[in-house]
Amino acid sequence: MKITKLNLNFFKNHDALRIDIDSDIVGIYGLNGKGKTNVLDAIHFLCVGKSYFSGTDIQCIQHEAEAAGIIGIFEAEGTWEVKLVLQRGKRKKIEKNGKALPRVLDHLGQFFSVVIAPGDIELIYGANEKRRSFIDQMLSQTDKTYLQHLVKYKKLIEQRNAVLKSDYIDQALIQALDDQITPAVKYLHSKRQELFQFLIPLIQRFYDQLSKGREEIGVDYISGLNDSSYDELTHQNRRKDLALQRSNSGVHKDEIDFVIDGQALKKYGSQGQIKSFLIALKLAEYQYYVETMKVKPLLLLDDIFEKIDTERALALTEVIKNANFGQIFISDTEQERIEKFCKATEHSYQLEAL
Amino acid sequence: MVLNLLKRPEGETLELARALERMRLDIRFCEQCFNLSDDHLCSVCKSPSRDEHTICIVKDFQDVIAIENTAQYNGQYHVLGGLISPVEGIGPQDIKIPQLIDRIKEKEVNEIILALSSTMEGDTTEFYIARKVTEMGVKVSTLSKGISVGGELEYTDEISLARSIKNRIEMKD
Ligand SMILES: [Zn+2]
Repeated sequence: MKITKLNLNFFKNHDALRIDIDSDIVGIYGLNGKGKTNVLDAIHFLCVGKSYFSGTDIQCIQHEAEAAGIIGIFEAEGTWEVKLVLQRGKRKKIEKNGKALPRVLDHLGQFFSVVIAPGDIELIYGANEKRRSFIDQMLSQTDKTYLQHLVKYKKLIEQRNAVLKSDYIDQALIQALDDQITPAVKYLHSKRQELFQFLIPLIQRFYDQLSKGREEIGVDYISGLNDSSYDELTHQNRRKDLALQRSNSGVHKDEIDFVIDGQALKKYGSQGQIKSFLIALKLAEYQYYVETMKVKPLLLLDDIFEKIDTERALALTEVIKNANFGQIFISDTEQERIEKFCKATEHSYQLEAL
Repeated sequence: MVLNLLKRPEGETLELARALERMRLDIRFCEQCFNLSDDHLCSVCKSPSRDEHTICIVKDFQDVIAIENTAQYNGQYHVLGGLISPVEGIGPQDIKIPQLIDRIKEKEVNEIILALSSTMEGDTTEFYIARKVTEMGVKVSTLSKGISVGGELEYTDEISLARSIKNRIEMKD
């Protein structure tokens, strides 16, 4: 898929930005603080209905402004105008070809983007929550049933926690919630397991292309549900639930660890190995959308040359040159460096100065 | 409405005011099923032709009206007045569930039909009642889901509501 037009209004630092696009690769350059990342974030926002870089929507509205808007024209089996409006104190709105969508969640599954950014390092060093939401985001875009189960599951666990916090704990009520959690958690767990089986060989393939090493890549998916049913888990955790006043069984407790040669990447991986792994992980995400949804997502590369060494950057250029990517947006501080990259990929490109 | 009333003769408006007052004072809840009523028992509970061994569980009186409009149901009702939602502090004791349990203990009830909205709160309430009531040896069935998706019973058209009452599904473990 491609974007042919992009408008930002009061989105982060951009008052009014218009970009017309007719190339495969768009290089955006400018000094730090000019808002290169914000342009990439706006594209991601249009695809999935939320920011990649900011925790809340309010942070995306310019100070003093009442509202922010993004409009993008997509070419993806037809032409689509996607319009997103963020307003203070109101729910965000998404319109597709002039038609408002009832819920932002309904937008998922048509437009895809994969971001590679310096902050991705959090996927390695951050809490399990980060890695869980990374894979939830992937599965929610490709599988509507997963999304429905996930939304319901989160609400049910909240309800269950509220019961555990109450003065009188009605076991029949816990059971009534567990009756509904059981099918949801089973589905979520099996889909997560399938996803990792699919991803591991892909990560390995891209990792091999990016690094000269011979390391073996793995993902440890540690879930109570790997060997027990939800029913068995809740029985095992009954006392713990009562003592801690929250639910200890289910996929919200899943742990995901990245592994290199059988050891934890975050503990034993070198800086270079971690950088290669992260790019490989994101390219695997890209390939996952290609294979499951038959689309070519937008690839958004934020400031990658600043953070990765020349050798890896060259390897990435080779991957991009040979692979069949859709449109690529790349940001950098230096015009010369970005132009060199664009040329090397041997695709049509345009440069935008901020 | 107020402007309109001012244009009318005084006698007419007073009459209307009295009627409204009477209505407000007379309205109360049925002591057995908690439906709206003008007496201590509502017209459904009072009627000798209704089957008192079958009880349909609904959230509020609008649902009773919707089901009555189908003319396909001949049992009695039990109006819960709300749905279980622990995060909002609404537990089974805060709606008319204890009264339902007592009613089943006292009367010979053969079947409970759950007709709550298919929201998470509706489902939780249904699963809870089903668990409590099957322990007591009562058959539990639920309206075929999909009829009330996206809304409450009152928005469902009569034909599909009637069909789902007839084709209700027994809930088993
Ligand atoms: Zn009654």
